[in-house]
Amino acid sequence: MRKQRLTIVAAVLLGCVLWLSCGKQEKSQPDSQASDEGKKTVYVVNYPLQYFAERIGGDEVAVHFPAPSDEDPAFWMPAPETIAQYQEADLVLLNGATYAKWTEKVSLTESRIVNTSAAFSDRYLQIAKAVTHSHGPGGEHSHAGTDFNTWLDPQLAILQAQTVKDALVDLLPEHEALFNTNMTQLEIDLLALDSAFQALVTGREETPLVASHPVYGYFAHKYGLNLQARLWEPEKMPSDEEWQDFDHSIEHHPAKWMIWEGTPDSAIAVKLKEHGLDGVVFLPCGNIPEEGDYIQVMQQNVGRLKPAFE
Amino acid sequence: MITLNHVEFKYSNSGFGMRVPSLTIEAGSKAALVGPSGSGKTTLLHIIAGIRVPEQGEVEVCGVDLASSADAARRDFRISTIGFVFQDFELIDYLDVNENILLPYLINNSLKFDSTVREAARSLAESMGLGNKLTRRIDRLSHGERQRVAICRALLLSPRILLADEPTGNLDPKNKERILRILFDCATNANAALLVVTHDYNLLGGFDQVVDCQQFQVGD
Amino acid sequence: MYRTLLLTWRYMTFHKIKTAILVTCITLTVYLPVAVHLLVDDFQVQLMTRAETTPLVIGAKGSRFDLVLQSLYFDAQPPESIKMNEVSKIRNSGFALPIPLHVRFRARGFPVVGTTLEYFDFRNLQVGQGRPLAILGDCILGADVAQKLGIGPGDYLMSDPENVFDIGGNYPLKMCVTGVLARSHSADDYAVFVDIKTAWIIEGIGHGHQNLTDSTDESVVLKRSDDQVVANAALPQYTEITKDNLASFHFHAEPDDLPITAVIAVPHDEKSGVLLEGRYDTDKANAQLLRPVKVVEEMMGMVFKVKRIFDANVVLVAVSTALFMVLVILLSLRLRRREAVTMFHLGCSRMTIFRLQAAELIIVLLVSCMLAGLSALATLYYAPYFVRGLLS
Repeated sequence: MRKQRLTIVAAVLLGCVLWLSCGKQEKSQPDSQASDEGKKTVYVVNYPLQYFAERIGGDEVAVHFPAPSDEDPAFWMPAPETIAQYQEADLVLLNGATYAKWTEKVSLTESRIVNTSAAFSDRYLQIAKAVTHSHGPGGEHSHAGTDFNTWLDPQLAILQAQTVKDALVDLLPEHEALFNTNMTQLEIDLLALDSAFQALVTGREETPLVASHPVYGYFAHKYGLNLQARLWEPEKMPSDEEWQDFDHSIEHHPAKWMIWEGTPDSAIAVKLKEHGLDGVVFLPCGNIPEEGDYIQVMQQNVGRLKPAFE
Repeated sequence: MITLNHVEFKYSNSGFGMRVPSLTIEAGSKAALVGPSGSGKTTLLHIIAGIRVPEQGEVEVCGVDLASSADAARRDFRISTIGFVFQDFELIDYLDVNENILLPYLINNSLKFDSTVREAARSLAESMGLGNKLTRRIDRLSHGERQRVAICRALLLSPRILLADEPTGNLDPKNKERILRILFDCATNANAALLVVTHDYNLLGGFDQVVDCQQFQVGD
Repeated sequence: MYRTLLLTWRYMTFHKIKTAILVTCITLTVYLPVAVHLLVDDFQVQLMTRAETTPLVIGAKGSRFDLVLQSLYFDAQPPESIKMNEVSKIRNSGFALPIPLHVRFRARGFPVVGTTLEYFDFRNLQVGQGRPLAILGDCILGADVAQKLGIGPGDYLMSDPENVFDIGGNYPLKMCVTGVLARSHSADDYAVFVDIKTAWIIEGIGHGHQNLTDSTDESVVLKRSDDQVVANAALPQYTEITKDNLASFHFHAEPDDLPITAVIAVPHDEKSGVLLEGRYDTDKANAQLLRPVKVVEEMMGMVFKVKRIFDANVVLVAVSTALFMVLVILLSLRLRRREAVTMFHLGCSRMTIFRLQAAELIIVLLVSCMLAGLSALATLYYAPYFVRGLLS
């Protein structure tokens, strides 16, 4: 217990250092097939889990995340050949909280599946609005029901990473010490991230904010943010009706910033500016980022969010 | 040469018996045994063939003393010396004509059974007009054909004595003469003695010797 | 020897019917008890092998035999359902690998076995053609199912309606055959395997939504307004899972409440098995845990009792056949008496005559025994199929 508290303090300090040094972690190469031979295979359903598994497993496991980069892994449907890869994996890490519903519609080897969020299933958040819409090749889908972007709460991310670590230890008990060490490292990074977010919002929790998409539930919940979500796409100009509805809502929720999953089209940004709002990008990092790794992207999110809380 | 002296024979299960004080049939001669039914014609044939042994007396056929020979010796004697045409032919129903002719070879392992024998059987059958019926079943043959099969079987071993038990029974006169002719010819060709049992007195013309069996009968 | 055999053969073929009757009687007398022995043996071996490779079975309380036969052979009356939480309980206990079974439906007469992929590893079943189960609605066929129905990967197989008169009942599911299992010479050859989730869809617990407004088949539409489409009864009377409606499939139950017919539990070691057994060995447990080996031993006990009665019967049959044989031989000797006399007159020894008549008997006996032996071999070969037919 005392050790853990010490770790947290150390983590806060280290986090700052890390943030400043902006990532000494090398982005891991997921497809280094040659060196993967004979290794236990781990298949995951989103990038955060890939990152956690790679950080903890190191060179001892081969982590695979086969979702294409232009798909939202949450709504992706793998091809039968890809499903076969998942079936043959030694370990399949699920995000849980209804993330990647395809896993409920295919046959997987149940005993090799680990739901990384099962430990806190009582803390799942619900999204009230039931609207179907579509973006990307994943087709039409709905955000109603359970919010699944659990990892955006760094504390929940730590719990998920912990579960990943336990699963890896079950898989390769001989490497328990290594996995524990790696987990401690990861935990330090995630705690640093938590401290950074906390530092950002402390005292400014009431700042009204709008999210373009209802994906920041856990983040907002964790830091007690005053955040309202729309259902806008960065590349699709909202209809007049939606703008009217938006104007109506900001009358009661005078937000100055809108958080986007990706950089919005300039036309949208301009129109948003006309309505008195600036846009800021917070990448949820569900899929592999174009640059940097999970911690780096999150730290960049912290950096980008800064103006919204000033 | 067949010689019987003071022969006495009696069936244990009936009152019939016979006594032959003396009977001689020369080698190569043709003898008819005549007499009414039950006068002992067949019994006499059986004694001469070594099938039955008299209680008393001497039976010498071709130099073999049958009265004092053992069973096995008499069997060998039958095989080597006797050709027998039985009253009802006694053909084997499950064998074909050829196999019936070859029967003496089939049932006596001491006889060499080879292609020569088969050839002999076939030429014998052909000489009897059975050449195209070798593989025919016995029950598909006429009476005369069966009789000829029986004669072939008796002749196959080139016997020195040919015995025929009522070969002319149940035949019309024409066929009677025909069958007798066959038997005579066969015996002559084989240089064998021929003993024919018959009660048809019209047929005795060609025989060298006629033996009336009634004279030998004792009891009922 | 040749001459004796020739004569005997001629005799036997001439009296065909008599020979055939003799051969048949002796063959049957020898073969029947052997066949029953082989079948019972195979029955026992098959039951035992399957039971021995199935360490523990958990299911609703009730008939032990039904539960074990249903879980091993998918044949008996489906037992009462238990809930899926039994699987999580076993998994969480850490004592055993739980493999759920849902065997309640049939497809063209063959049992539809809903299970998880672990089952295939557990039974060492290999996919001979096609690919393993992947998506809801997929099914893979046992080798005999594929052979008998003449279908394979890429074909469709409809589940049988539970009750044709039950209008409110579930629609059959049109399943997509993705693979055929390599022959395993077990009950698995006679089953259709689906993911357990697919089995729940057949049961009607999981379903998707047919989007009528997008329906291209206008023949089923009676009336169409902006927000309402009225369909006629020609709307497909079966469920089909397609790429388009897959996303809409969902289950109207908590995962833990979903029904299964049994769980096969594979303990991690002997001790775990005993510990798990202990958990179910209380009145409070709402399911029973069975060791199939024990249940099968109990069943075999009954089978052997029946076999003993049969064995006693066989003795009687053998005695009557022996008497019959004596009668036939005596009659035969009488029939062949004349023939024997002829042969004797022709110089044949009594020994040869005896040999000829004995040869017939010996050949009849030999042929009968050979036929019985060949039949027994055939039985030995076909017994597994036959017994499996009995068991599934």
